[in-house]
Amino acid sequence: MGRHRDRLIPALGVGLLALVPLAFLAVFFVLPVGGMLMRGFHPDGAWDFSGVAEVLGRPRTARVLWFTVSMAAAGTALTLLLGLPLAFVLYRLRFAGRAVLRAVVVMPFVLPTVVVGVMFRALLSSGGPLGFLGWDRSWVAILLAYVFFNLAVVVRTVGSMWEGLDRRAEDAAAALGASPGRVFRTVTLPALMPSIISAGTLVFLFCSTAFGVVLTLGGLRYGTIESEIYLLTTEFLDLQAAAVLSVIQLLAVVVMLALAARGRARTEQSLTRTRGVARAPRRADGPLLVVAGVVVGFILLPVLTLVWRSLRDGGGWTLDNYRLLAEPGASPALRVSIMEAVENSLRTAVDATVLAVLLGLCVAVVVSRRPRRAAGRRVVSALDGAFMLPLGISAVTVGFGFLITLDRPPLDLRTSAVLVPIAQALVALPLVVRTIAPVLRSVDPRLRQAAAALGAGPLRAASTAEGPVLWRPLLAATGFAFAISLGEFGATSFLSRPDRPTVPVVIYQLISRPGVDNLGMALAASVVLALLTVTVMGLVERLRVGSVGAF
Amino acid sequence: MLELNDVGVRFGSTVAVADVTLTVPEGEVLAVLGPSGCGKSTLLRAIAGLEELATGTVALDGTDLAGVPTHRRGFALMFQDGQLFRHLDVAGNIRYPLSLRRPNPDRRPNPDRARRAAPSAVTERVEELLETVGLPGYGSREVSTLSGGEQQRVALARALAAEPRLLLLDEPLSALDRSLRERLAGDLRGILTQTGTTALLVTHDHDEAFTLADRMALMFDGRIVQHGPTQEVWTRPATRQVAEFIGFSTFLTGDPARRVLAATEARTPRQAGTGGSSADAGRSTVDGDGSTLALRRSALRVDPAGSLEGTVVSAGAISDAVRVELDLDGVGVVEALADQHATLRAGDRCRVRAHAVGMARLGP
Amino acid sequence: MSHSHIRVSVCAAAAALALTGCTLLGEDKPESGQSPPDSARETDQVSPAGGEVVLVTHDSFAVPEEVLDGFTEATGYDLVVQASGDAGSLTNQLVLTRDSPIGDAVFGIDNTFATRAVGEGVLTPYSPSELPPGVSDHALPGEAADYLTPVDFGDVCVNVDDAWFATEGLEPPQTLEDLTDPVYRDLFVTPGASSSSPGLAFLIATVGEFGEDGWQDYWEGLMANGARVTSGWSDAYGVDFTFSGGDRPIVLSYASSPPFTIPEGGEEPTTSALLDTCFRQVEYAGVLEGAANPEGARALVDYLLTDPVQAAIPDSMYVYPVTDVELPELWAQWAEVATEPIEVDPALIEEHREDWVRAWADIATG
Repeated sequence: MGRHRDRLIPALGVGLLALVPLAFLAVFFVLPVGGMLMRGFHPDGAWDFSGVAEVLGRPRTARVLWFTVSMAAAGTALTLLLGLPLAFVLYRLRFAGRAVLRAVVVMPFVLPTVVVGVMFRALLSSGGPLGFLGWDRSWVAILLAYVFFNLAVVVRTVGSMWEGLDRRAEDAAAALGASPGRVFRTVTLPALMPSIISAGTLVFLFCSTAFGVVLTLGGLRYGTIESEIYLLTTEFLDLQAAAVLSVIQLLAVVVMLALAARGRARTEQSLTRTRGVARAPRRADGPLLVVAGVVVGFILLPVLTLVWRSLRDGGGWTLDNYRLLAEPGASPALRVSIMEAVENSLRTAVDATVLAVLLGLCVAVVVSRRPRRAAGRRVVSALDGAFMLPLGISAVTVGFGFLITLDRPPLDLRTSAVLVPIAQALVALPLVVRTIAPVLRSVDPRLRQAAAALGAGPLRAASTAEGPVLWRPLLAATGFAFAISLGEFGATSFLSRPDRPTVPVVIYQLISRPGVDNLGMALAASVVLALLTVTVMGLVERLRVGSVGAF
Repeated sequence: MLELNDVGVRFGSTVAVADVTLTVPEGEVLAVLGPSGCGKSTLLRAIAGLEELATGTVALDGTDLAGVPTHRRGFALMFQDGQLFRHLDVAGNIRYPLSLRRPNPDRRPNPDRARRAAPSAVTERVEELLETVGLPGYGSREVSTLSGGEQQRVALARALAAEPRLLLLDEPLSALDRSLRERLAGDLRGILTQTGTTALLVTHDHDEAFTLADRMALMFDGRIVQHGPTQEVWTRPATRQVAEFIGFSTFLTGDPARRVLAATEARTPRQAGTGGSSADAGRSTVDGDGSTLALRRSALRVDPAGSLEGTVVSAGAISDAVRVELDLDGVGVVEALADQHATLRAGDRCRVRAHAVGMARLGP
Repeated sequence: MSHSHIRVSVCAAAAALALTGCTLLGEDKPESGQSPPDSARETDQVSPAGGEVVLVTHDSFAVPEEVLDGFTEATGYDLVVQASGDAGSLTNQLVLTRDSPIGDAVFGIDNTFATRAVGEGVLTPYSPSELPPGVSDHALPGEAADYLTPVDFGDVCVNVDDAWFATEGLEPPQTLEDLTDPVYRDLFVTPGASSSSPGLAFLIATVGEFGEDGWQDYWEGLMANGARVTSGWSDAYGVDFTFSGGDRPIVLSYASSPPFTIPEGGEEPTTSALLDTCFRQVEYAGVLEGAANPEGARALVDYLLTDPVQAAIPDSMYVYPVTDVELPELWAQWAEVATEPIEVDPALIEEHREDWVRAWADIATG
């Protein structure tokens, strides 16, 4: 009897572990989105698909779909192309200031899109310092913004895997006569492939659901599925057309996730992990250092513009914008001071991070198991994809869905403040899973079996085998979740209560009002937000340094 | 011929390798033997061009390799866990170096190289190499389905496919179980000899070094402390540290040493060509100068006809003998061997015969 | 709905939340729904009527905290504000949640969306018994006036950078017609009608000015003359407008924008609004059908017309009060409103808004 129970617990435990995040997903994603789709296709108690053909037949629909997909693909490719050299430099080389740079890379991730949009335009517009490029209001600007926002995903996801990669396989190939480029192509790249696919999938989803930045930078010339759904839902209340586009979005996301899952399954391998493989830069690293430097410059340029403008007042230098931040009632447009907003942001971010990391860890542990039976593997793979879906679905659909579905006990949450961290966690969750799962998958299952054979219970065995390698990605994921939560604007602006706004919401309020002071405060608040992120990410890096020596 | 002259490697302020001067003649195998962390792997990586030299030169056939990147040195590297490319199958791994253009001006003429583009020739060569390492027909196997020993064989085939001017082996057999290790060591030695490959091996396992290498260098704390033909190092360790590391377990001085030497039979057929018995050397000098007599456990055997006598402290079977700890009268506690069928219990009295093979004299 | 009830139900409902529920709900969340400092205020003790009023509004809603506290002081109701989206998004939210309203009262439905809100039945009739003077001037036509009470208004007008025109020695434009004059080629920037609420107001202004048949021709002329369309007001005004360092001296903004362009140490604004180009946006408040607290909602609508709220409106929301309270000094001096704003019947707007925006998008955003 006892022995039976011992055998049952791991499978049962894994199943239970899956149940918690699944319930979360069902309540806060499937229910609201399903509700919105029902309103579209089943409006007055009867199914109605009359508008489907008409929506699909609009030339605008085809144009919007094409633009969305091609731009997301181009954005993903460019982000990977520029992100990989940076990941190498920041995770395989050792030099002073590396930790700061790692934190800097994450900064764009948290800047509110509306501020970044305005900054990019200030740089690229005909009067701006980069106006001569003629990129203002063109698709190039949108592409650059995609790269700007998503570099962090590539650098951190791929970097944390690269850091632990055993360099001896590369050494062996080099000794066999493979040039550095060839070593990278034939040895390093295949080993990194799972994390590259993971990061690429995320970036693609982020790009294809980007909204504010497309509008700001492209003017209204370019529409994406996301902006179209927004328009149809919030302005036209054409719920059927919105539902048609949402379903297309959903299908496209599912197909893409399935392709990515196949690609990952093909490339995933048990890796030997080592530590301390980072080395001092050499002359041969020159070209990569230059690329990385240019990329960092590209990240810093809009940010420095932001800092510069926040310190300017007419013709001179001033700290007034920052002084105003601490003053309650400095702007009549705001109900709370920026300092209170910072406090709200931090609290919400802590809640969202805890939620996302706990749930994400559950999901990652479940999806990193390799069931013996094919059916089991399919279930695991589907589960993996399910938690990515929220990234591919319009925030408007989810937000409106909250309003129409979470309206009665026991889930009357529409007016509750808990929806904000929940929505943020929903966005951060896939990133947490994507950061942790590849590492867990690459742990040799025999390690766990060895621990179990020594008498460790399932939990103990898992923590013995996987705990040591889990540290890095877990911290990276925590930082990520925190950063996302700090910067999240779309869902937050929809759900947050005006008496408890977060910093991005306040920045948006300031920037939408006339007055030099308001703009100045918005810029200063953005700088504060950026500094906050760099500090938090810097702490995460430090924390890790302390723990690395432990094993 | 590989020549290392005054090679040093530093990591920041830490000196990992210092003052290493070694040569490996063409076609020979040199083993660098030392405990883990002694810097031997760093030395290997420096030779491969993977670490920068702080001092000294690495030269091959008279050409200084400074500034020549790893992939142009025409070497091959093999690690204890193979480091096979997991996204390629067995044939794919062996084909890997064949698909690379290796700039190697003084490569031996090789008809296969000329036909590099012909796929059939490559396939043939892969199969030939698989046969050499004893894995015929394994070409389409996935790497992950291979046992540890098979992976090492594939790694060897991959290295040989490169026709390296120098093969660098980093603990090539350490991850394998004992019987496999012994068999593979023999095979490896045979293959290296047969292909005339110049090789440098680093290992902490003295048996591995003894089986594979023509020459041996002992490294402690980043420095080479002894260097010479394997047999010579094996029988004449320069220091007690070296002796301990290559398997000497008992060290005697003064009266106990003289007592053992007196009982020793000078029977040294294996050492005929190496300039006399180490026991002779011991006998002549151990007296009076404070030098030490080092004994492997095989130097003392339990034998009713022996001239030494002692009390058994403990005994335990090993693969082909019984290892006995004895309190030898007038000598002290020593390690010895007994025949496999011997039944010895603690407290038993027995006689012991001393053999010159397995003894060495260490300077003061 | 009390928060302790939510606490119990959340914990019971979702195991997912149980994990973090303590973090989420364990923080010192005020029971009143106000921000933490409020619970410390003396107003908390006064609760003659009791209960909570939930105000649903758009994300531009901003009234100083002490003015909102005045409502609690005067009536005893606690006020909870739910804000998101713009006027259109707000109206559509209310339509979607008609069967289960998210609040008791609404503020922020404007005259471009009023007909939809009334027609979709999201409101219950209520109008304060005594309207302060001036308010009825802004009332909706017909029976819609029984549902929605005017609270503030703003004029969306073309603004020009007078300083720029003075430097260039060019006469600034006066009318909408002027904007298609080649003299003003490549000088105009406006937020788009499909993505911005002033943009939509400007589109409707052109419909009112040039008629249902003529506005498309006008827009084609406007685009041919190099008009630039941005997504939102903030980047049109904050990036492209010459006042903010851009290259366009004519921008669509508000009649209330000029006072904010008085240079430091200067006396008068360097920009001005063209008062012949204005469309008047009026914002209304009303009581939601099915409200849990209709008395409270009515009290709130009444309160929005009191002097403290009306006086705070210009500085907080950058629009004009509907009553005759005193305007801030700078406004009185420099933020003149249009005497004859362009008018379009709200019912007509509701009927055609979607067609207009789609047709506009084809012309203006290609």
